[in-house]
Amino acid sequence: MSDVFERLTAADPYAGQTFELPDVVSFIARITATPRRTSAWRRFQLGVSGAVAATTLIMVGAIAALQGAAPSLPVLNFAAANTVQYNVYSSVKTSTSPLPTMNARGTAATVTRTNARYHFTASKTLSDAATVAPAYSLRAPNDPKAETTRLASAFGLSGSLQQLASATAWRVRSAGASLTLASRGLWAWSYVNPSARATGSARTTVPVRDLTRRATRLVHALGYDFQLATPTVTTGSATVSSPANSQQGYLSISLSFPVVVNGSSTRLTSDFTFSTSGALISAHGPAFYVASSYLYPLRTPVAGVAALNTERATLAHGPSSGGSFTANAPRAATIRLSTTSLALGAYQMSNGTLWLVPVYLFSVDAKGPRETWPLLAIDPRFTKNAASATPVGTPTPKH
Amino acid sequence: MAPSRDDRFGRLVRELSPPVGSYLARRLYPLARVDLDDLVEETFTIIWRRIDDVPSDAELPWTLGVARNVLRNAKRSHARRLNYEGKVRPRGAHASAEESVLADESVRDALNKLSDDDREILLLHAWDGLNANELARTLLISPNAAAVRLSRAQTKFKEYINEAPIQ
Repeated sequence: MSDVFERLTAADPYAGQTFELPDVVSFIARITATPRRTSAWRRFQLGVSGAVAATTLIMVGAIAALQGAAPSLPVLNFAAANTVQYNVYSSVKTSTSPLPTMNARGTAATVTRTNARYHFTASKTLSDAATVAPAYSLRAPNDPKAETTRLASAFGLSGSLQQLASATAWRVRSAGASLTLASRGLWAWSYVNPSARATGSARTTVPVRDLTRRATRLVHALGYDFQLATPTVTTGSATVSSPANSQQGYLSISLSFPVVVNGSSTRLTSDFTFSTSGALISAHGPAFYVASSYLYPLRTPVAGVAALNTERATLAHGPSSGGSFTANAPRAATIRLSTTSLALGAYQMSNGTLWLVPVYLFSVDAKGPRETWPLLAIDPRFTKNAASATPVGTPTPKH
Repeated sequence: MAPSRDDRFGRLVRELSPPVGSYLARRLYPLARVDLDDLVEETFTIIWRRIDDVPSDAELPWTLGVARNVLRNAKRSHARRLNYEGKVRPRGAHASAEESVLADESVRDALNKLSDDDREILLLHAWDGLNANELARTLLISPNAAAVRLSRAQTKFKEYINEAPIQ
Protein backbone atom coordinates (compact mmCIF):
# COMPACT_ATOMS: atom_id res chain seq x y z
CA MET A 1 0.00 0.00 0.00
CA SER A 2 1.36 3.42 -0.88
CA ASP A 3 2.54 5.75 1.81
CA VAL A 4 -0.40 8.07 1.11
CA PHE A 5 -2.99 5.49 1.94
CA GLU A 6 -1.02 4.22 4.90
CA ARG A 7 -1.23 7.73 6.27
CA LEU A 8 -4.96 7.75 5.59
CA THR A 9 -5.44 4.49 7.47
CA ALA A 10 -3.27 5.70 10.30
CA ALA A 11 -5.36 8.87 10.54
CA ASP A 12 -8.40 6.86 11.60
CA PRO A 13 -9.66 8.73 14.72
CA TYR A 14 -10.93 5.48 16.15
CA ALA A 15 -7.78 3.47 15.43
CA GLY A 16 -6.89 1.08 18.23
CA GLN A 17 -10.33 1.36 19.79
CA THR A 18 -13.23 -1.04 19.63
CA PHE A 19 -16.77 -0.10 20.40
CA GLU A 20 -18.31 -2.40 22.97
CA LEU A 21 -21.80 -2.51 24.33
CA PRO A 22 -21.67 -2.34 28.13
CA ASP A 23 -24.42 -4.96 28.52
CA VAL A 24 -25.22 -6.95 25.41
CA VAL A 25 -27.91 -9.05 27.10
CA SER A 26 -29.87 -6.01 28.29
CA PHE A 27 -29.39 -4.31 24.95
CA ILE A 28 -30.89 -7.26 23.10
CA ALA A 29 -33.70 -7.68 25.63
CA ARG A 30 -34.60 -4.01 25.41
CA ILE A 31 -34.90 -4.09 21.64
CA THR A 32 -36.63 -7.43 21.30
CA ALA A 33 -39.12 -6.50 24.04
CA THR A 34 -40.67 -4.14 21.50
CA PRO A 35 -42.67 -6.35 19.14
CA ARG A 36 -41.73 -6.04 15.53
CA ARG A 37 -44.31 -3.83 13.85
CA THR A 38 -44.80 -6.28 11.03
CA SER A 39 -45.97 -9.05 13.35
CA ALA A 40 -48.55 -6.83 15.05
CA TRP A 41 -49.78 -5.63 11.70
CA ARG A 42 -50.03 -9.16 10.36
CA ARG A 43 -52.04 -10.30 13.37
CA PHE A 44 -54.36 -7.36 12.90
CA GLN A 45 -54.94 -8.01 9.27
CA LEU A 46 -56.06 -11.68 9.59
CA GLY A 47 -56.97 -11.55 5.98
CA VAL A 48 -58.78 -8.21 6.29
CA SER A 49 -57.33 -5.52 4.08
CA GLY A 50 -56.74 -1.95 5.12
CA ALA A 51 -57.76 -0.03 8.22
CA VAL A 52 -61.09 -0.97 9.78
CA ALA A 53 -63.92 1.57 9.85
CA ALA A 54 -67.24 1.22 11.59
CA THR A 55 -69.02 0.55 8.31
CA THR A 56 -66.54 -2.02 7.00
CA LEU A 57 -68.27 -5.30 6.25
CA ILE A 58 -66.36 -8.41 7.22
CA MET A 59 -66.97 -11.75 5.62
CA VAL A 60 -69.09 -14.00 7.76
CA GLY A 61 -66.37 -16.60 7.68
CA ALA A 62 -63.85 -14.20 9.18
CA ILE A 63 -66.18 -13.29 12.01
CA ALA A 64 -67.03 -16.91 12.63
CA ALA A 65 -63.35 -17.74 12.75
CA LEU A 66 -62.73 -14.91 15.17
CA GLN A 67 -65.61 -15.92 17.37
CA GLY A 68 -64.27 -19.42 17.34
CA ALA A 69 -61.01 -18.02 18.66
CA ALA A 70 -62.82 -15.69 21.08
CA PRO A 71 -61.89 -17.58 24.24
CA SER A 72 -58.24 -16.60 23.63
CA LEU A 73 -59.02 -12.89 23.58
CA PRO A 74 -58.23 -11.17 26.87
CA VAL A 75 -61.25 -9.71 28.65
CA LEU A 76 -60.60 -6.02 29.20
CA ASN A 77 -61.31 -5.09 32.79
CA PHE A 78 -61.45 -1.31 32.80
CA ALA A 79 -60.18 0.62 35.77
CA ALA A 80 -62.58 2.74 37.81
CA ALA A 81 -63.07 6.33 36.71
CA ASN A 82 -59.76 8.14 36.95
CA THR A 83 -59.84 10.88 39.56
CA VAL A 84 -56.67 12.57 38.31
CA GLN A 85 -57.45 15.82 36.55
CA TYR A 86 -55.97 16.01 33.10
CA ASN A 87 -56.75 17.46 29.72
CA VAL A 88 -58.38 15.03 27.38
CA TYR A 89 -57.28 15.53 23.84
CA SER A 90 -59.79 14.46 21.30
CA SER A 91 -59.33 14.18 17.59
CA VAL A 92 -62.89 15.40 17.18
CA LYS A 93 -63.76 18.89 18.24
CA THR A 94 -66.80 18.92 20.43
CA SER A 95 -69.27 21.72 20.43
CA THR A 96 -69.42 24.03 23.37
CA SER A 97 -72.60 25.75 22.34
CA PRO A 98 -76.15 24.51 22.80
CA LEU A 99 -77.04 21.86 20.26
CA PRO A 100 -80.27 22.08 18.30
CA THR A 101 -82.13 18.83 18.80
CA MET A 102 -85.54 17.29 19.12
CA ASN A 103 -87.36 17.21 22.43
CA ALA A 104 -89.61 14.39 23.56
CA ARG A 105 -92.55 15.79 21.58
CA GLY A 106 -90.53 15.86 18.41
CA THR A 107 -90.34 19.63 18.38
CA ALA A 108 -87.13 21.29 17.51
CA ALA A 109 -85.67 22.88 20.57
CA THR A 110 -82.36 24.03 21.84
CA VAL A 111 -81.30 22.06 24.85
CA THR A 112 -78.74 23.33 27.26
CA ARG A 113 -75.97 20.81 27.55
CA THR A 114 -75.86 20.65 31.29
CA ASN A 115 -78.60 19.41 33.57
CA ALA A 116 -80.39 17.45 30.88
CA ARG A 117 -81.11 13.77 30.30
CA TYR A 118 -80.96 12.43 26.82
CA HIS A 119 -82.64 9.56 25.01
CA PHE A 120 -80.79 8.35 21.97
CA THR A 121 -82.31 6.77 18.87
CA ALA A 122 -80.60 5.33 15.83
CA SER A 123 -81.20 6.75 12.39
CA LYS A 124 -81.64 4.28 9.55
CA THR A 125 -78.28 5.42 8.24
CA LEU A 126 -76.50 3.65 11.09
CA SER A 127 -75.17 0.20 10.31
CA ASP A 128 -76.23 -2.97 12.04
CA ALA A 129 -73.48 -5.03 10.48
CA ALA A 130 -71.01 -6.96 12.59
CA THR A 131 -67.44 -5.69 12.41
CA VAL A 132 -64.09 -6.20 14.07
CA ALA A 133 -61.37 -3.75 15.02
CA PRO A 134 -57.96 -3.93 16.68
CA ALA A 135 -57.15 -3.01 20.24
CA TYR A 136 -53.57 -2.48 21.36
CA SER A 137 -51.92 -3.00 24.71
CA LEU A 138 -49.29 -0.35 25.26
CA ARG A 139 -45.88 -0.39 26.83
CA ALA A 140 -44.41 2.61 28.57
CA PRO A 141 -40.76 3.54 28.15
CA ASN A 142 -38.65 0.91 29.93
CA ASP A 143 -36.27 3.42 31.47
CA PRO A 144 -37.82 6.90 31.85
CA LYS A 145 -34.47 8.45 32.80
CA ALA A 146 -32.72 7.19 29.69
CA GLU A 147 -35.81 7.92 27.64
CA THR A 148 -35.82 11.56 28.75
CA THR A 149 -32.18 11.93 27.79
CA ARG A 150 -32.89 10.32 24.43
CA LEU A 151 -35.84 12.59 23.72
CA ALA A 152 -33.89 15.65 24.82
CA SER A 153 -31.14 14.71 22.40
CA ALA A 154 -33.67 14.47 19.59
CA PHE A 155 -34.56 18.08 20.37
CA GLY A 156 -30.90 19.05 20.57
CA LEU A 157 -30.82 19.44 24.35
CA SER A 158 -27.85 18.13 26.27
CA GLY A 159 -28.27 19.47 29.77
CA SER A 160 -28.30 17.52 33.00
CA LEU A 161 -31.17 15.21 33.87
CA GLN A 162 -33.30 16.01 36.91
CA GLN A 163 -36.12 14.13 38.53
CA LEU A 164 -39.15 16.25 39.35
CA ALA A 165 -41.04 16.20 42.60
CA SER A 166 -43.83 14.03 41.23
CA ALA A 167 -41.32 11.14 40.95
CA THR A 168 -42.82 10.05 37.62
CA ALA A 169 -41.41 12.99 35.72
CA TRP A 170 -37.95 13.75 34.40
CA ARG A 171 -36.57 16.85 32.75
CA VAL A 172 -33.55 18.02 30.78
CA ARG A 173 -32.87 21.75 30.63
CA SER A 174 -30.48 23.42 28.24
CA ALA A 175 -30.06 27.08 27.33
CA GLY A 176 -33.53 28.00 28.49
CA ALA A 177 -35.29 25.16 26.69
CA SER A 178 -36.50 22.02 28.41
CA LEU A 179 -37.79 18.57 27.62
CA THR A 180 -39.99 16.82 30.16
CA LEU A 181 -41.21 13.23 30.23
CA ALA A 182 -44.01 12.55 32.69
CA SER A 183 -46.75 10.05 33.41
CA ARG A 184 -50.32 10.46 34.52
CA GLY A 185 -51.44 7.09 33.35
CA LEU A 186 -50.21 7.71 29.83
CA TRP A 187 -46.61 8.84 29.48
CA ALA A 188 -46.18 12.08 27.55
CA TRP A 189 -43.26 14.23 26.47
CA SER A 190 -43.28 17.99 26.34
CA TYR A 191 -40.79 20.51 24.94
CA VAL A 192 -40.77 24.24 25.51
CA ASN A 193 -38.38 26.99 24.48
CA PRO A 194 -39.66 30.36 25.71
CA SER A 195 -36.92 32.24 23.89
CA ALA A 196 -38.11 30.97 20.49
CA ARG A 197 -40.56 33.70 19.69
CA ALA A 198 -41.49 35.84 16.75
CA THR A 199 -39.48 38.98 16.23
CA GLY A 200 -42.64 40.94 15.95
CA SER A 201 -43.65 40.11 12.41
CA ALA A 202 -47.34 39.44 11.94
CA ARG A 203 -46.66 37.63 8.71
CA THR A 204 -45.75 33.98 8.55
CA THR A 205 -42.44 33.57 6.74
CA VAL A 206 -42.27 29.77 6.81
CA PRO A 207 -44.73 27.69 4.79
CA VAL A 208 -47.02 25.55 6.90
CA ARG A 209 -46.04 22.50 4.87
CA ASP A 210 -42.43 22.98 6.02
CA LEU A 211 -43.52 23.18 9.63
CA THR A 212 -45.64 20.09 9.13
CA ARG A 213 -42.68 18.26 7.66
CA ARG A 214 -40.41 19.29 10.53
CA ALA A 215 -42.89 18.19 13.15
CA THR A 216 -43.57 14.90 11.43
CA ARG A 217 -39.87 14.09 11.08
CA LEU A 218 -39.23 15.02 14.68
CA VAL A 219 -41.94 12.71 15.93
CA HIS A 220 -40.64 9.98 13.65
CA ALA A 221 -37.20 10.45 15.15
CA LEU A 222 -38.65 9.96 18.63
CA GLY A 223 -39.34 6.39 17.57
CA TYR A 224 -42.72 5.73 19.17
CA ASP A 225 -45.27 3.38 17.71
CA PHE A 226 -47.55 5.90 16.11
CA GLN A 227 -47.72 8.22 13.14
CA LEU A 228 -49.19 11.67 12.62
CA ALA A 229 -52.14 12.49 10.39
CA THR A 230 -52.88 15.80 8.68
CA PRO A 231 -52.81 18.57 11.27
CA THR A 232 -55.33 21.20 12.12
CA VAL A 233 -53.59 24.55 11.75
CA THR A 234 -54.43 27.61 13.76
CA THR A 235 -52.68 30.93 14.04
CA GLY A 236 -52.81 33.33 16.85
CA SER A 237 -50.98 34.13 19.98
CA ALA A 238 -49.33 31.71 22.31
CA THR A 239 -48.56 32.30 25.92
CA VAL A 240 -45.46 30.82 27.39
CA SER A 241 -44.48 30.92 31.02
CA SER A 242 -40.99 32.22 31.36
CA PRO A 243 -38.71 30.98 34.15
CA ALA A 244 -39.79 34.01 36.14
CA ASN A 245 -43.34 32.74 35.87
CA SER A 246 -44.59 35.72 33.97
CA GLN A 247 -46.52 35.11 30.83
CA GLN A 248 -45.98 36.77 27.53
CA GLY A 249 -47.95 36.53 24.34
CA TYR A 250 -46.40 35.81 20.98
CA LEU A 251 -47.59 35.45 17.43
CA SER A 252 -47.62 31.76 16.62
CA ILE A 253 -48.71 28.94 14.37
CA SER A 254 -50.13 25.85 16.04
CA LEU A 255 -50.36 22.44 14.44
CA SER A 256 -52.47 19.78 16.11
CA PHE A 257 -51.76 16.36 14.65
CA PRO A 258 -54.15 13.46 15.22
CA VAL A 259 -52.17 10.44 16.38
CA VAL A 260 -52.61 7.33 14.23
CA VAL A 261 -51.67 3.73 15.11
CA ASN A 262 -51.36 1.26 12.27
CA GLY A 263 -53.71 3.34 10.16
CA SER A 264 -56.37 3.69 12.87
CA SER A 265 -57.27 7.12 14.20
CA THR A 266 -56.93 7.69 17.91
CA ARG A 267 -58.37 10.33 20.18
CA LEU A 268 -54.87 11.50 21.03
CA THR A 269 -53.00 14.38 19.47
CA SER A 270 -49.48 15.68 19.24
CA ASP A 271 -49.30 19.46 19.15
CA PHE A 272 -46.62 21.85 17.94
CA THR A 273 -46.45 25.63 18.23
CA PHE A 274 -44.03 27.58 16.08
CA SER A 275 -43.25 31.27 15.89
CA THR A 276 -44.10 32.97 12.64
CA SER A 277 -40.43 32.70 11.70
CA GLY A 278 -40.49 28.93 12.19
CA ALA A 279 -38.80 28.56 15.56
CA LEU A 280 -40.26 25.81 17.72
CA ILE A 281 -41.85 27.35 20.81
CA SER A 282 -43.45 24.27 22.30
CA ALA A 283 -44.53 20.73 21.49
CA HIS A 284 -45.96 17.76 23.26
CA GLY A 285 -47.26 14.29 22.51
CA PRO A 286 -47.75 10.80 23.92
CA ALA A 287 -44.88 8.42 24.57
CA PHE A 288 -45.84 4.79 24.09
CA TYR A 289 -44.91 1.60 22.30
CA VAL A 290 -47.34 -1.06 21.13
CA ALA A 291 -46.85 -4.25 23.12
CA SER A 292 -49.43 -6.43 21.40
CA SER A 293 -52.60 -6.21 19.35
CA TYR A 294 -55.84 -8.15 19.34
CA LEU A 295 -58.73 -8.13 16.93
CA TYR A 296 -61.99 -7.74 18.82
CA PRO A 297 -65.55 -8.13 17.61
CA LEU A 298 -67.53 -4.93 17.98
CA ARG A 299 -71.14 -4.38 18.91
CA THR A 300 -73.01 -2.97 15.96
CA PRO A 301 -73.53 0.80 15.81
CA VAL A 302 -77.28 0.26 16.24
CA ALA A 303 -76.66 -1.82 19.36
CA GLY A 304 -74.26 0.88 20.48
CA VAL A 305 -76.99 3.53 20.37
CA ALA A 306 -79.18 1.32 22.56
CA ALA A 307 -76.25 0.93 24.95
CA LEU A 308 -75.91 4.71 25.17
CA ASN A 309 -79.33 4.82 26.75
CA THR A 310 -78.51 2.23 29.39
CA GLU A 311 -74.91 3.18 30.04
CA ARG A 312 -75.12 6.93 29.77
CA ALA A 313 -78.78 7.88 30.19
CA THR A 314 -78.23 8.76 33.81
CA LEU A 315 -75.24 10.90 33.02
CA ALA A 316 -75.74 14.52 32.12
CA HIS A 317 -73.85 15.35 29.01
CA GLY A 318 -72.02 18.46 29.91
CA PRO A 319 -68.57 19.87 29.36
CA SER A 320 -65.78 17.39 29.92
CA SER A 321 -64.73 19.26 33.03
CA GLY A 322 -68.07 19.25 34.77
CA GLY A 323 -71.83 18.95 34.44
CA SER A 324 -73.72 17.05 37.07
CA PHE A 325 -77.08 15.36 36.94
CA THR A 326 -79.76 16.86 39.09
CA ALA A 327 -82.96 15.10 40.14
CA ASN A 328 -85.18 17.89 38.84
CA ALA A 329 -83.64 18.01 35.39
CA PRO A 330 -85.84 19.08 32.50
CA ARG A 331 -87.76 16.50 30.54
CA ALA A 332 -85.67 14.11 28.46
CA ALA A 333 -84.59 15.21 25.01
CA THR A 334 -84.39 12.73 22.18
CA ILE A 335 -81.32 12.78 20.05
CA ARG A 336 -81.33 10.90 16.78
CA LEU A 337 -77.83 9.72 15.99
CA SER A 338 -77.15 9.31 12.32
CA THR A 339 -73.43 8.93 11.85
CA THR A 340 -70.59 7.25 13.62
CA SER A 341 -66.86 6.96 13.23
CA LEU A 342 -64.36 4.72 14.95
CA ALA A 343 -61.31 5.91 16.82
CA LEU A 344 -58.94 4.41 19.37
CA GLY A 345 -59.22 5.74 22.90
CA ALA A 346 -56.62 5.27 25.63
CA TYR A 347 -57.90 3.51 28.73
CA GLN A 348 -56.32 2.09 31.83
CA MET A 349 -57.23 -1.41 32.94
CA SER A 350 -57.68 -2.51 36.52
CA ASN A 351 -54.24 -4.13 36.48
CA GLY A 352 -52.63 -0.83 35.55
CA THR A 353 -51.93 -1.63 31.91
CA LEU A 354 -52.79 0.90 29.23
CA TRP A 355 -54.69 0.00 26.09
CA LEU A 356 -55.91 1.70 22.96
CA VAL A 357 -59.40 0.37 22.36
CA PRO A 358 -61.92 1.16 19.61
CA VAL A 359 -64.52 3.78 20.49
CA TYR A 360 -67.61 4.75 18.53
CA LEU A 361 -68.06 8.48 18.11
CA PHE A 362 -71.75 9.01 17.43
CA SER A 363 -73.01 12.31 16.13
CA VAL A 364 -76.09 14.04 14.88
CA ASP A 365 -76.43 15.18 11.33
CA ALA A 366 -77.63 18.61 12.36
CA LYS A 367 -76.96 22.12 11.27
CA GLY A 368 -74.57 24.08 13.38
CA PRO A 369 -71.81 22.75 15.60
CA ARG A 370 -71.61 18.98 15.70
CA GLU A 371 -71.24 17.17 18.92
CA THR A 372 -70.08 13.62 19.48
CA TRP A 373 -71.01 11.00 22.01
CA PRO A 374 -68.36 8.37 22.58
CA LEU A 375 -69.04 4.73 23.47
CA LEU A 376 -66.67 1.83 23.84
CA ALA A 377 -67.24 -0.28 20.73
CA ILE A 378 -65.93 -3.68 21.84
CA ASP A 379 -68.51 -6.43 22.26
CA PRO A 380 -69.45 -6.35 25.98
CA ARG A 381 -68.70 -10.07 26.22
CA PHE A 382 -65.03 -9.06 26.22
CA THR A 383 -65.20 -6.14 28.65
CA LYS A 384 -65.85 -5.50 32.34
CA ASN A 385 -66.74 -2.17 33.94
CA ALA A 386 -66.74 -0.53 30.53
CA ALA A 387 -69.76 1.65 31.32
CA SER A 388 -67.85 3.59 33.97
CA ALA A 389 -64.55 3.74 32.11
CA THR A 390 -63.07 7.14 31.34
CA PRO A 391 -60.33 7.70 28.81
CA VAL A 392 -56.78 8.67 29.64
CA GLY A 393 -55.68 11.76 27.78
CA THR A 394 -52.34 13.17 26.83
CA PRO A 395 -51.51 15.44 29.72
CA THR A 396 -49.10 18.27 29.05
CA PRO A 397 -46.30 18.04 31.58
CA LYS A 398 -45.91 21.39 33.27
CA HIS A 399 -42.67 23.28 32.75
CA MET B 1 -32.27 -26.12 11.09
CA ALA B 2 -32.33 -22.37 10.46
CA PRO B 3 -31.70 -20.26 13.55
CA SER B 4 -34.66 -18.48 15.10
CA ARG B 5 -35.02 -14.76 14.60
CA ASP B 6 -34.02 -14.15 18.20
CA ASP B 7 -30.91 -16.24 17.86
CA ARG B 8 -29.93 -14.59 14.62
CA PHE B 9 -30.49 -11.13 16.04
CA GLY B 10 -28.41 -11.95 19.10
CA ARG B 11 -25.57 -13.10 16.88
CA LEU B 12 -25.83 -9.97 14.73
CA VAL B 13 -25.65 -7.75 17.79
CA ARG B 14 -22.61 -9.53 19.17
CA GLU B 15 -20.76 -9.63 15.85
CA LEU B 16 -21.75 -6.33 14.31
CA SER B 17 -22.16 -3.88 17.20
CA PRO B 18 -18.37 -3.26 17.34
CA PRO B 19 -18.00 -2.26 13.66
CA VAL B 20 -21.32 -0.40 13.69
CA GLY B 21 -20.38 1.50 16.83
CA SER B 22 -16.95 2.27 15.43
CA TYR B 23 -18.45 3.49 12.15
CA LEU B 24 -20.78 5.84 14.00
CA ALA B 25 -18.16 7.00 16.49
CA ARG B 26 -15.88 8.19 13.71
CA ARG B 27 -18.62 10.25 12.15
CA LEU B 28 -20.52 11.60 15.15
CA TYR B 29 -19.52 15.24 14.82
CA PRO B 30 -21.42 17.58 15.23
CA LEU B 31 -23.55 15.35 17.42
CA ALA B 32 -22.52 14.75 21.00
CA ARG B 33 -20.71 11.63 22.11
CA VAL B 34 -23.66 10.74 24.31
CA ASP B 35 -25.65 10.16 21.11
CA LEU B 36 -23.48 7.20 20.12
CA ASP B 37 -25.31 4.61 22.22
CA ASP B 38 -28.67 5.91 21.05
CA LEU B 39 -27.63 5.69 17.42
CA VAL B 40 -26.33 2.16 17.87
CA GLU B 41 -29.57 1.15 19.54
CA GLU B 42 -31.63 2.84 16.86
CA THR B 43 -29.67 1.00 14.21
CA PHE B 44 -30.22 -2.40 15.78
CA THR B 45 -33.85 -1.63 16.50
CA ILE B 46 -34.31 -1.23 12.76
CA ILE B 47 -32.31 -4.41 12.18
CA TRP B 48 -34.62 -6.28 14.56
CA ARG B 49 -37.71 -4.94 12.83
CA ARG B 50 -36.32 -5.92 9.43
CA ILE B 51 -34.49 -9.06 10.47
CA ASP B 52 -36.04 -11.02 7.63
CA ASP B 53 -34.61 -8.55 5.10
CA VAL B 54 -30.98 -8.77 6.27
CA PRO B 55 -29.11 -10.67 3.53
CA SER B 56 -27.16 -13.57 4.95
CA ASP B 57 -24.27 -12.96 2.55
CA ALA B 58 -23.88 -9.25 3.33
CA GLU B 59 -24.86 -8.74 6.94
CA LEU B 60 -22.19 -6.17 7.81
CA PRO B 61 -22.51 -3.89 4.78
CA TRP B 62 -26.30 -4.03 4.98
CA THR B 63 -26.21 -3.10 8.64
CA LEU B 64 -23.76 -0.29 7.98
CA GLY B 65 -26.18 0.98 5.37
CA VAL B 66 -28.84 1.20 8.06
CA ALA B 67 -26.41 2.94 10.42
CA ARG B 68 -25.55 5.37 7.65
CA ASN B 69 -29.20 6.37 7.28
CA VAL B 70 -29.69 6.61 11.02
CA LEU B 71 -26.72 8.94 11.30
CA ARG B 72 -27.82 11.02 8.35
CA ASN B 73 -31.30 11.50 9.85
CA ALA B 74 -29.82 12.41 13.23
CA LYS B 75 -27.55 15.01 11.68
CA ARG B 76 -30.42 16.45 9.68
CA SER B 77 -32.44 16.87 12.90
CA HIS B 78 -29.44 18.51 14.52
CA ALA B 79 -28.96 20.85 11.56
CA ARG B 80 -32.61 21.80 11.63
CA ARG B 81 -32.35 22.66 15.29
CA LEU B 82 -29.36 24.84 14.59
CA ASN B 83 -31.37 26.57 11.90
CA TYR B 84 -34.20 27.20 14.34
CA GLU B 85 -31.75 28.94 16.60
CA GLY B 86 -30.32 30.95 13.74
CA LYS B 87 -26.97 29.21 14.04
CA VAL B 88 -26.47 28.50 10.39
CA ARG B 89 -22.88 27.76 9.59
CA PRO B 90 -21.37 29.92 6.84
CA ARG B 91 -21.25 28.34 3.41
CA GLY B 92 -17.95 26.60 2.84
CA ALA B 93 -17.14 26.38 6.51
CA HIS B 94 -18.55 22.90 6.88
CA ALA B 95 -16.19 20.49 8.56
CA SER B 96 -16.84 16.82 8.18
CA ALA B 97 -16.84 14.60 11.21
CA GLU B 98 -13.61 12.92 10.27
CA GLU B 99 -11.77 16.14 9.61
CA SER B 100 -12.60 17.55 12.99
CA VAL B 101 -10.51 14.97 14.79
CA LEU B 102 -7.63 14.36 12.41
CA ALA B 103 -4.23 15.25 13.64
CA ASP B 104 -2.56 14.82 10.25
CA GLU B 105 -3.28 18.18 8.68
CA SER B 106 -2.37 17.11 5.16
CA VAL B 107 -4.75 14.18 5.30
CA ARG B 108 -7.41 16.43 6.79
CA ASP B 109 -6.97 19.07 4.09
CA ALA B 110 -7.03 16.49 1.31
CA LEU B 111 -10.21 14.93 2.66
CA ASN B 112 -11.76 18.38 2.93
CA LYS B 113 -11.25 18.93 -0.79
CA LEU B 114 -13.09 15.74 -1.74
CA SER B 115 -16.81 15.72 -2.45
CA ASP B 116 -19.03 14.20 0.23
CA ASP B 117 -19.57 11.07 -1.86
CA ASP B 118 -15.88 10.59 -2.61
CA ARG B 119 -14.93 11.11 1.01
CA GLU B 120 -17.57 8.68 2.19
CA ILE B 121 -16.56 5.81 -0.07
CA LEU B 122 -12.87 6.41 0.53
CA LEU B 123 -13.24 6.21 4.30
CA LEU B 124 -15.65 3.28 4.27
CA HIS B 125 -12.84 1.44 2.52
CA ALA B 126 -9.87 2.84 4.48
CA TRP B 127 -11.33 2.98 7.98
CA ASP B 128 -14.26 0.56 8.00
CA GLY B 129 -12.48 -2.02 5.85
CA LEU B 130 -15.16 -2.58 3.22
CA ASN B 131 -14.16 -4.02 -0.16
CA ALA B 132 -15.86 -3.07 -3.42
CA ASN B 133 -18.65 -5.64 -3.12
CA GLU B 134 -19.36 -4.62 0.45
CA LEU B 135 -19.29 -0.96 -0.51
CA ALA B 136 -21.89 -1.74 -3.15
CA ARG B 137 -24.22 -3.37 -0.58
CA THR B 138 -23.80 -0.49 1.86
CA LEU B 139 -24.29 2.29 -0.66
CA LEU B 140 -26.91 0.41 -2.70
CA ILE B 141 -24.97 0.70 -5.94
CA SER B 142 -23.59 -1.93 -8.29
CA PRO B 143 -20.21 -3.52 -7.49
CA ASN B 144 -18.81 -2.07 -10.69
CA ALA B 145 -19.98 1.43 -9.77
CA ALA B 146 -18.51 1.01 -6.29
CA ALA B 147 -15.15 -0.03 -7.71
CA VAL B 148 -15.11 2.90 -10.14
CA ARG B 149 -16.08 5.43 -7.48
CA LEU B 150 -13.52 4.12 -5.03
CA SER B 151 -10.78 4.26 -7.59
CA ARG B 152 -11.73 7.82 -8.51
CA ALA B 153 -11.82 8.89 -4.88
CA GLN B 154 -8.41 7.34 -4.22
CA THR B 155 -6.91 9.07 -7.24
CA LYS B 156 -8.24 12.45 -6.18
CA PHE B 157 -7.13 11.98 -2.60
CA LYS B 158 -3.63 11.12 -3.76
CA GLU B 159 -3.51 14.21 -5.99
CA TYR B 160 -4.68 16.51 -3.22
CA ILE B 161 -2.33 15.16 -0.61
CA ASN B 162 0.61 15.38 -2.98
CA GLU B 163 -0.27 18.99 -3.61
CA ALA B 164 0.18 19.82 0.05
CA PRO B 165 3.26 21.86 0.86
CA ILE B 166 6.08 19.93 2.47
CA GLN B 167 6.16 20.76 6.16
